[in-house]
Amino acid sequence: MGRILERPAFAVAAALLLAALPARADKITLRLADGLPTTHIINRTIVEPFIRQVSEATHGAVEIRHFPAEQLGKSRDMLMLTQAGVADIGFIVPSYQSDRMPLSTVTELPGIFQTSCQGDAALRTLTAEGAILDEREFKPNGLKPLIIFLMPAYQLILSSSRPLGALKDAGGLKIRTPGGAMDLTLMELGAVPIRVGPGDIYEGMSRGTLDGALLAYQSAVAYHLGPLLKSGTLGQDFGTVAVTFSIRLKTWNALPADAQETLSRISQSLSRQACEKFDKAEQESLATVRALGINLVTPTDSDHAALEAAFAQVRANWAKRLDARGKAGTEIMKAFMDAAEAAKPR
Amino acid sequence: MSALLAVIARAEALLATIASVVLGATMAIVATDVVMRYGFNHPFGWSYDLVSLYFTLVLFYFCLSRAFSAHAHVAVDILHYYVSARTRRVFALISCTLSAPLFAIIAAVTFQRAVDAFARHDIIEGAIEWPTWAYLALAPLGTALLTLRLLVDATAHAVALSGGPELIPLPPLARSDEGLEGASFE
Repeated sequence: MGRILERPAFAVAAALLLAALPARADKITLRLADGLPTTHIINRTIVEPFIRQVSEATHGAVEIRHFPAEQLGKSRDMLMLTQAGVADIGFIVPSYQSDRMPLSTVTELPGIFQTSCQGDAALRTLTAEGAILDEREFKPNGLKPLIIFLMPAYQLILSSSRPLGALKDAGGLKIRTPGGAMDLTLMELGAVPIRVGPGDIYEGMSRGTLDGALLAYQSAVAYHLGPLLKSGTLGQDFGTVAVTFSIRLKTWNALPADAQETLSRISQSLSRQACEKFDKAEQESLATVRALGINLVTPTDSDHAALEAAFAQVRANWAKRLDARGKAGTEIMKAFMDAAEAAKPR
Repeated sequence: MSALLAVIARAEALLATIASVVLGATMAIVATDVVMRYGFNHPFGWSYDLVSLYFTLVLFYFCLSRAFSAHAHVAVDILHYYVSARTRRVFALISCTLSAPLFAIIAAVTFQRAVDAFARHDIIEGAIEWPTWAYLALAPLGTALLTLRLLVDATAHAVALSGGPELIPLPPLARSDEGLEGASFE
């Protein structure tokens, strides 16, 4: 035995083994990647507090390194990058991954909830541990949703000089959507949906390849679209996108229980606070675009009725198309509508 | 060996021809789309996705192997001016031998992604339901052909170095007569 211990090869192997073993006191470093500008409200109100609170709660034992602005890859590739371990926590937006997470795009359906907090609560119900979206889409994609919330209801904003007197005026215009159900909504309005990431809208609008976009006003301000905009709708619900910061399941399972508990607690707290922060920011952004002289249009009564009919048609079509591919479209839509009803402010 | 080289050359020519047709189609679609948009207020809803998801990938992957065999790719040949033809062939052999496994891995990984997407019936949701396997399959097709080209070229260079026939010529030097005359991709 003594002779074995004296062998150089054994010493090298032992040293390598010891170096490879993580000491309990080792700092855990997680890479968080997103595709947002550092000034974006999501970074300011969600990501930065998340990083700071996790560091404080664990006394620096868990460090989250932030890679914003598509430093690790395009927003549309975040799912793949997170699955591959390039990022530990990824900015996963189901609308950008509708091929892999079609059911999670249910939030894009228009006219389901009245307030952001109601929509957020419904989404949290569906993505909770063991709930339908967790089991059907997040787990099969190797993800655990940490922070999850909805952006404020999207509005139709136009850079085209065509006046937006009524919704029918959007007919024939090329409008950016995140894809999915919002494409169907625009088609119902006679517009042409163009699927591009938010980072490409400015270029599209400046070149005239896009006439407008479906987007929340706070995102329009964050992406500096204000000077390009001429008009936009006010107070409509064209659906919205769910935003998640999801951790790779393999990474999550390898974390110590106390780190898991801390991450879960802080994530849930931030998710619950998100809607109020975003609603407030949306009002501030509205004031900003108003000051730029953008024509904000409230639909007429006849427009409103037409919209309601179009929205109902969109929801039915969306569910039917998913059902036809064996994807439980009707089931998820009903579950989301029921959860939204249960979360309705009384 | 010569027959194999000829078969690969035909496959490269076929894919490059398809890419040329796709390039022409892209220009036609984009131009028509502009006319439809400004002239008739009815732009194509499918043109952006068709071009960005499928056509650009065809243009890239279907020309990979042809670009390599025609020496139309970017290559650093500073040292080639100072060494003998035999050493240049050694460089070419090393280059092909190192590149082949890399492109083989890309082909294998992208092929698996395409197969998975096909099995899951993955579709990009939206106005038109675009199947993802169809564009994911373009990458393994192009990179597999390039891998084959690299392996065959490596073998041909090895044959030439061991005293056999020169089945493929050396890459022409930039600014040389042969480079100016014969190396055009077009």
